[in-house]
Amino acid sequence: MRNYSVAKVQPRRKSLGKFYLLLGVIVVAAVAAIAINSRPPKQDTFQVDPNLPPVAVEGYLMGDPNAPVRVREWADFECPTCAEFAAVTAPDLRELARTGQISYEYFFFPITQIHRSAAAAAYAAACAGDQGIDQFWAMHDAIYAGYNDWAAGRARNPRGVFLGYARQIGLDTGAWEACYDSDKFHDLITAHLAEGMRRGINGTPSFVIGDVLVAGSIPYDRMKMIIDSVAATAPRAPAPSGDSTVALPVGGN
Amino acid sequence: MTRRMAVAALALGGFFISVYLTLFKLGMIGQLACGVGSCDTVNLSAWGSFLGLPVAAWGMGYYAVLFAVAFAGEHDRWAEHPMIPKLLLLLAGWGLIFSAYLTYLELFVIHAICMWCVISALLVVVIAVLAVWEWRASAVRPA
Repeated sequence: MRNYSVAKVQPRRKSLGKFYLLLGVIVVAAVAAIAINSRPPKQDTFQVDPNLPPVAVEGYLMGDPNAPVRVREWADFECPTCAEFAAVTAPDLRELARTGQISYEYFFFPITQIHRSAAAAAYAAACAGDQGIDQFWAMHDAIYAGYNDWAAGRARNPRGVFLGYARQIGLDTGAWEACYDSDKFHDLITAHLAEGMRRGINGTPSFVIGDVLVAGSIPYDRMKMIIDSVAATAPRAPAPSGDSTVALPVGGN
Repeated sequence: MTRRMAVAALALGGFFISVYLTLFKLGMIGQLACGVGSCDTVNLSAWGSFLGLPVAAWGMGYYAVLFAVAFAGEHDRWAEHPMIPKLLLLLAGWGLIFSAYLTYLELFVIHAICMWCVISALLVVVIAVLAVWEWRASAVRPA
């Protein structure tokens, strides 16, 4: 029969009182810390006034215009939460658009009072959209992805940064520059702003999903719950008037 | 304090961090206290869930099992059981791998760091060191 020696086992304590005390302190401290740092979530979903007329201005649409649910986003390119949403949650929304569960429509809402380059970014994206809806989304992605290159005063005049994006995504840069330097899309951007404000939007990003206004960025899980809820209660609706094809807003002038 | 006590205490701390993050993910807490990094971005991203459950909820389960093994290993009935150090090592190894994966996602995919995730990862590293030490020290050799 083999003999074994047990090497270097730490001797068991006769009393575990101090151990239990330590665990108790950890539990009490942790529960107290969680309780102190917990604030109930603020309400961030509201009912849109059902008496409002349908959205009268075209946004930039992704997906089937006849999809059962239309997710409309009003956003400001210089808003950091909007940039975060574009990076983190929007890809999942785009997948829903790709599979026909939703259509996803983007509207400009530059808050120029606090974001100096927000309007310029909106012009940059609109002028890219002037060359095609895919070009709009490519510029939209480039502007958000390059947030740290131009936003919050990092570029005194972001025109050069946006021109770089225009080259990068293969735009006709001559046409883009001519558009950017004109007021071609001033009326459209203003109309997007007005439409958002009419719906009670005063911050970004904000979303209108069916008759639900979502103020601020929410997790994908919650957004999907709202989408599913809207889809369950609203039968497949015809495309909004004047918008039976992929939306490509034209310049206001 | 023994190594197993330390593992139990650290696992208990990790459990409550996971509880906090799970409550946030479930929408029961409006805002995370996050001094450094961007906790919201990480926890609310698509990678905040794993197999349909919040990652933090998986963390709760992990730390609970780890705590149970270490806690049991401090009591006479289980203290000499050869499976205790092996289980601790196995759990610690799994924790290291999963924490490394989550850290990779933060740095290279989500491009945001969650302070609480980093603290949890550090807890796992310390637990792993203790688990290896415990396993080596508990080795049984022929005389």
